[in-house]
Amino acid sequence: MSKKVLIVEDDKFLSDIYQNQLQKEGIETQVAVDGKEALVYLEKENPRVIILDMIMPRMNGFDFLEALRKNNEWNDIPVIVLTNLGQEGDKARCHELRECTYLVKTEVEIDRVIKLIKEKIS
Amino acid sequence: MWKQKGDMFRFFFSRITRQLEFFLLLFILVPLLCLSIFFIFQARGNSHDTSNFLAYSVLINKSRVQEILNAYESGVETLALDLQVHENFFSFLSVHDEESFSVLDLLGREDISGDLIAGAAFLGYQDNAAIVTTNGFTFTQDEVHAFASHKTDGRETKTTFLFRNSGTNDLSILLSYPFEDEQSLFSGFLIIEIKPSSLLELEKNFRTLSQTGEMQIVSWGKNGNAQTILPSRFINASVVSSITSDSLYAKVLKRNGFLDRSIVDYRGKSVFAASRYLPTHELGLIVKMDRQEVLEPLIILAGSLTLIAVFLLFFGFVFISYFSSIVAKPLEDLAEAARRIEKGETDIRLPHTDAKNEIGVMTRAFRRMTTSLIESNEALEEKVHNRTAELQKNFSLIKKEKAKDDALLSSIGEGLVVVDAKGLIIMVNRAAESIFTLRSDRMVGKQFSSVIVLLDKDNHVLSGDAHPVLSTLLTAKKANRMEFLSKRSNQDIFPIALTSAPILLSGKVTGSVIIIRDITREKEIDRMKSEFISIASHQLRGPVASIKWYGELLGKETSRMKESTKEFVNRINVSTVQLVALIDDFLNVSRIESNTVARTLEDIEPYKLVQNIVETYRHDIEEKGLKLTIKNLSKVKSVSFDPESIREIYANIIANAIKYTKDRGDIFIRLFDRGVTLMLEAKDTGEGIPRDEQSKIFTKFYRASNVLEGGHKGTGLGLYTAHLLAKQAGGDITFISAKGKGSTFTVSLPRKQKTLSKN
Repeated sequence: MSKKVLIVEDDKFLSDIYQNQLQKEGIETQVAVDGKEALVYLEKENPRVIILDMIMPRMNGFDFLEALRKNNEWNDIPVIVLTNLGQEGDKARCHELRECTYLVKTEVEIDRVIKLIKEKIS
Repeated sequence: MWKQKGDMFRFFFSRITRQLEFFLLLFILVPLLCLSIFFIFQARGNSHDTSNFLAYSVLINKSRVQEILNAYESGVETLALDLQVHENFFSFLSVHDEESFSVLDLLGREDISGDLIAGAAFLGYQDNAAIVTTNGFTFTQDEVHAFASHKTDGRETKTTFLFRNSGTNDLSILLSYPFEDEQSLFSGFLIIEIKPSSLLELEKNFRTLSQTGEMQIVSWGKNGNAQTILPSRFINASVVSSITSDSLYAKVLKRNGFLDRSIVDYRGKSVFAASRYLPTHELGLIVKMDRQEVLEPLIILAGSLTLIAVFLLFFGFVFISYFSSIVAKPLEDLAEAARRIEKGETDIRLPHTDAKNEIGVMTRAFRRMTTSLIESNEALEEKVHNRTAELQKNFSLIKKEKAKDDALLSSIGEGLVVVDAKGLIIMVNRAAESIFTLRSDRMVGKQFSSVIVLLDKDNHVLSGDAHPVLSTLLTAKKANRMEFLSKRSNQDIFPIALTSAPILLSGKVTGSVIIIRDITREKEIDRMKSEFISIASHQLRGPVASIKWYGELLGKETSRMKESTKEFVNRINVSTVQLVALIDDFLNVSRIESNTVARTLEDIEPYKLVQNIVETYRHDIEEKGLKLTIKNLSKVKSVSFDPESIREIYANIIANAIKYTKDRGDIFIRLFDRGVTLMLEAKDTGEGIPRDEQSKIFTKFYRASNVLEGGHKGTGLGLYTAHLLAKQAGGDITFISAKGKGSTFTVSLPRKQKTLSKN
């Protein structure tokens, strides 16, 4: 199993931060700009952790989680949702689809995010 | 004169059915009727009396005649028997010497029962032929034959009556009696002639009883005719009438007596007659009286009565006509005049007024009354006319004023509805009509709640105390800018802001003035604002996340920076935090408004919560040197509430108190129970809220002028959010404040949060 972290995020600035900070920790990353790209990657290999943004073009986070559910192979992969959607409703909806860690980007420091990812990997 | 009479005649008949004239006529006719009845009874009585009289008379006379005749018979018998024993009689008979003596002389008597013996004779037989030996006494052949025939019969009758009439009053009766000789052999008849003055007397007496009364004795005469014996009152001979079945005398000779009121006698006159039969002598007796005599008095009576009747009728007619023209007609005219006056005509013709009688008096009085009526009528009309002109003037003035008022009301942009104390709509203005798309005639006069539907946020129709107008009418309290939903005439639901104020008259509610504002646009704008903020905030979060994290990363590299650069980075991060907070606030508010906040009920310790909140602001409190005290009065118990909501409410209030209090100011926080309500009071000595801005302090983004100028930071959402949350939870926030003096905010919450449905 690779130590790769799959980053599903359409904002390059943000995905760059994830990438840079994780690479500093020696963690490999793969970036997908939307749900579709992420699924394509998942066909090829299973990452250790998925970082998921919710608002994306083509296929958003919800639909991605839906698709993720369908494949039993991917059940074990921990998902960290990093989103701007702060509503309780959105959070609940996510949890319905899949067990995950739900974080609002503006509420959490980047250091904490990286720390959490490291925990999930090990 | 005739023409006048003719008029009166017509008049009379045309009014015959009127009461007065009718009774007058009756007054005349009734006596006439009485007289007629009287007359009829008289007539009957009269006739009756006469019949009785005649019947009685005939009986009496019959017995008298019978007596007389019997007396004659016995007289003659006596004479005959006497003669038989007379010594000289037989020698007389054998001698037949007429000159020597008369039979009369032999008799020794001159009368029988007072009636004169006029003559006597002896009728003898020789060789079966009758030989009459008389002196101076002659018989007619018929008489001789009549006497003789009795012998021939073989039977010897005792007497024979014959009547002899030679002249009016010269009546004789011949009686015969059979005679026996010495050898007791029949030798002949003694014949006596009697002058029956008794009979005549009898008849005379009867005559005296009346003018036309007559008694007659009737017998069979020769030739089979009836013959009367007594002389007639009216003619000079005995009457001979032929036997006809219906003739009077034939009737008399029938063995039954009769009583007839109208039978024709020998003169041809109608008579009352009564008869009896004398069987022994084969005679009939009749008494009669002329009908004319009987009825004459009645005829006179009838005549006089007729005269009276004619008299009465004529005068009655005259009187009634006179009466009609003097009394009835004028009364009629007056009645007619009254009718016309009633109809309102003024040209009335009244009857003559110069009569001196009561009718005239009345007519004159009526005329005066009519005149005064007409005059007062005219005066009234004039008054009415004047008044009407006045009223017209006033009315047009009022109309002008009303037009002004109407124009005023029409120009008001907000809907105005006025209701009376019962809630019936008295008036609506044009704006109200257009808000509800109803014409005023559909609204006026109807109940407010039936015309303008008010719904709460759950689309339930308001009623009772919840209805602002009903509440105002009952409690005289003003309902100020309350928001409801309403329906237009096409059933579209739209939001309104309603203010309902009572109309008071001497302290009593006589109605309510309701101002309604269609706030569809405002609500729309509000919604658009919220939506915009929501969208914008979400959008903003994206780049803000980047800034935040890059800022953080920079912050980690500050050891390699100059002091100033470090400071820059620091400030970037601080600003970012603020930015994040702002965006969060905006998003929060829009969430609360759209009611999408998840609520959970938990047991909250209010005192602990307040302490907790105050703790989070410790830094600011210390920095400003504020003195903050918390008092937990009545040891408030825990409440059942959504923790986030209650925290947000209290935090906002407390944060405001801290924010707007000047340095070294005081803040007092009190917690207490009031019944089922939890009360939090936050009193500060800060900026206060200017009076004219107090009503807007809970509105979104509103910041009072004094704090804006003072440079206090704020979004204007704090109080709005707290107020909204409190209301949603079933509570309220109120305050007392004065500019520069400070504010006291009071939060009242139900001990158990009111759960609302999520949209």
